[in-house]
Amino acid sequence: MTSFVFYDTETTGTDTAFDQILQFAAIRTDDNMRELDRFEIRCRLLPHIVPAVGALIATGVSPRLLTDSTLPTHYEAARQIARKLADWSPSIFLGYNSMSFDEELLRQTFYQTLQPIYVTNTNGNTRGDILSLVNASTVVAPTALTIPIGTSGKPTRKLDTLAPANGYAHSNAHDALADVEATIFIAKVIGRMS
Amino acid sequence: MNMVEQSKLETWTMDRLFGFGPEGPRSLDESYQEACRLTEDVGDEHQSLLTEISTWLFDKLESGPWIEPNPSAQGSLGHIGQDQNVEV
Repeated sequence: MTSFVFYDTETTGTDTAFDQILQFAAIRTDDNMRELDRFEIRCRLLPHIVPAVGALIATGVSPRLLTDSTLPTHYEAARQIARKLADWSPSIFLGYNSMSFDEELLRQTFYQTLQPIYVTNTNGNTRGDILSLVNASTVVAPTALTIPIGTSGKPTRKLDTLAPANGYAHSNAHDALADVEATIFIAKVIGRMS
Repeated sequence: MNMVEQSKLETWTMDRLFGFGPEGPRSLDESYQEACRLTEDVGDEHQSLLTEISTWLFDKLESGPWIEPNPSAQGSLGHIGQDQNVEV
């Protein structure tokens, strides 16, 4: 059976080399995108990382949460993420804009914490990006998805506007688990139209 | 290859090999300036969070270096983990 792992990260900023994961969430599904398992973890801010204020505002993360001593450290979180992804292997790892961002960040995280780096594309695992599917669907099947118009007057494919425009109640955008669920919803919409 | 092309190639290579360009990591001051700029841009629902973040960053700036060097941790891996400033 082929399984998919949809995942998302919330971070201290958009620099994959110098920012860190603050929240990681993933849902494993079967090939019909029915949920089999889910995993979520938050972690503390590393002492040498300065977060981008815009990122904290977008994700609603307060300094108290960043330094909450009850949360696991970044290292502990990375170990748990690596272990969970290994448990779920072999799978197809998917996200929204993940090839450009989350995959890079995940590799950096694993490199910095001495975990196997290429988890999502070795040992039978492969990876993809739902944003690429969305881009392809707008050409191949233009009516499959409703592409909303952004504030600039141009079509936008941002998840927090695309998912609601297609009927998903995305009330908690920029929470990693909520974004994973929205990504699965978009994948299902495309899947139904294919 | 001229000097400009050489420079671009070096930057690209550094970026691909080490994952960073010439800019480096974000500084505390840079982040605090961003908080000040955002004060007028964010909506009312985010103002209290922004204030909390700004205060936290300002306190960090005021308190000097974020990570105080700890001489006891130098030169011995055995101290990593016992040093409160090194989080593993």
